[in-house]
This record gives sequence, structure tokens and C-alpha cells, in this order.
Amino acid sequence: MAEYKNIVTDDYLAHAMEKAVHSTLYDTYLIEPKVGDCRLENDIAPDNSYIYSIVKMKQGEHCRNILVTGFSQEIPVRILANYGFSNVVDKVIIHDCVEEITNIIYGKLKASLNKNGYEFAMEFPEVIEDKDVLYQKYNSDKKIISLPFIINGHLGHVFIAACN
Amino acid sequence: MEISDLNFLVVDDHLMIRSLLTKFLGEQNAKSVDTAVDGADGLSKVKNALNLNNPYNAIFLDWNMPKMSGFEMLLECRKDERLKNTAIIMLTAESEEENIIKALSAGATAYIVKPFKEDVVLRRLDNVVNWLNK
Repeated sequence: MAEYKNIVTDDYLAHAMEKAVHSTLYDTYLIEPKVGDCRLENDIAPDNSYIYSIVKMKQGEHCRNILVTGFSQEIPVRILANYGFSNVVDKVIIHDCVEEITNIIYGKLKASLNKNGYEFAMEFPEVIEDKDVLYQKYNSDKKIISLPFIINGHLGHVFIAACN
Repeated sequence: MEISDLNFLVVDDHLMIRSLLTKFLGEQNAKSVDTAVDGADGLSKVKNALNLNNPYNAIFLDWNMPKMSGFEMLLECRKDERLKNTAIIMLTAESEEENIIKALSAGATAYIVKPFKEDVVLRRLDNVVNWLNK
């Protein structure tokens, strides 16, 4: 089996995650996030106000990690309002927005990490509505890399967790 | 030719991007803007437009899409001699140099990396107009 670099032991990761989140939210969506410090957590703390989206971080045929984004609904609603979608309540539109934000964050992160030898492939993000399904997607016995951010007082997170 | 003479097709599986670009191109007074939800839908619309003798002048094309990727659609378009004068602008989260080179070598006219700024899209549009006028 091909040997791939292991993401959880790399200091370069924190900077790449912070840059991906900031650039995605500010450059396209014109929203300045306050990005917190990257840290290790024991679990993805479930938040019922969050919309979660995941992307498999595949290296060749192997998937050791997943990227998880969590946003309070106000964040995609605010982004959509910037582009003429006023007072959006349609779940389909909000989920579409969350998937695209996740897509761009992962694209930026992947590009940074692949410069450092990781060989991640582009994958499709998907919104996970059921928190129980989310818990099945990652290995909660392993530490999770967590990056919090705030936009206009609303909290969001980007996580990297080990696959189940 | 100017932007106001051009028929555009925006191919992206995310509604937000299709809406954002449609609005932006409308503000630039594009003649028309159609959208497609994946490469297969996009290719079908491109072929229909050709058959109606009203081809798209420029296509904005995402890479990572279900059913048919943007890269696969690009290859199919460039196989068709009738589309040699259609500009194809990749607009994608794929930002690695090898993929940019891959797309440009396969016949993409321009490449924009998401997240994109409007002034970057405008500059690429100017490039596309110059390319179409050659």
C-alpha cells in the first residue's frame, strides 16, 4: 500500500486551515471572520443549531480523514443575502450554500497541504442533517483537529477527524 | 464583439455559484446567460444550442461535479470542431498548478480559482473578449 503523510502530526496544518477559512469567507463572500486557534478536541461537540457538511479527504484509494464544517444557519443566510437571496428559509438553498463554502474551504486546504506532500484528491461535500449519521462518519476514539471562527457573532467550526 | 454580444452558459452543481455568476454577467450586460447543473446537463445544452444555430460564445465551467466533471465536459467540447470558437473558462476550487496546466492543455481558454473576486472575473472576461475577437 502506498505510504501517505499523516495529517494529525503536522504543524503546517493549523496555518493552512486558518488561511483556507479566512480566504474562502472573505475573498468570495466578503465576510470577515475572526478565526480562532487550531486545537485538538476529544469530539465534535454536537450543536443543534449547526448545519454540518463533510468531505472525505482521500489519498489515492484510502480515506483516513474527513473534513467537517459546522455553521450556524445565520452564516449561510448572511452570505446568501449578500448575493440577492433575501430572508432565505429554503433548506435546499441553505444546504447548497453550505456545501459550496465547504467545497471552497477544502479546495484551498487541499492545495496548501498537497504542496507539503499530502496528495489529497478533490471530493464532493455533502450536508449531513442527522447528527447520528455524522457521528458514524468519524472515529470518536481519536483526537479531532478543531478550528473555530466567528462571523458577526455567529459561531462556526472546521474539523478534521479520523474516518471510521 | 463585446460582452453585450455574448451568450453565456454557467455550469456548476451549486445554485449559489450559478446565481452569483448569472447576476454578475447580467450586470455586465451579457446578451444571455443560461445555466446547467453538471457536465452532462451542460454538454446537452451546448449541443442543443449548436443545433439551433445559436451557440454559446463562452462557458463558465466548474470542475468537480457529479455525472460528468467539468474536465470531462471540456474534453468533449474540444472534440467538436464547431466549438473551437467557444471560450471555456474553468471556475473551480481546484487550485493546484498541475490541474491548471491540465485544463489549459486540454483547451480551456482561461482558469479562475474559487474563491474568486469580481475584478478577477472581469479581467478574464476581457481576455475572453480579446480571444473571441481574434
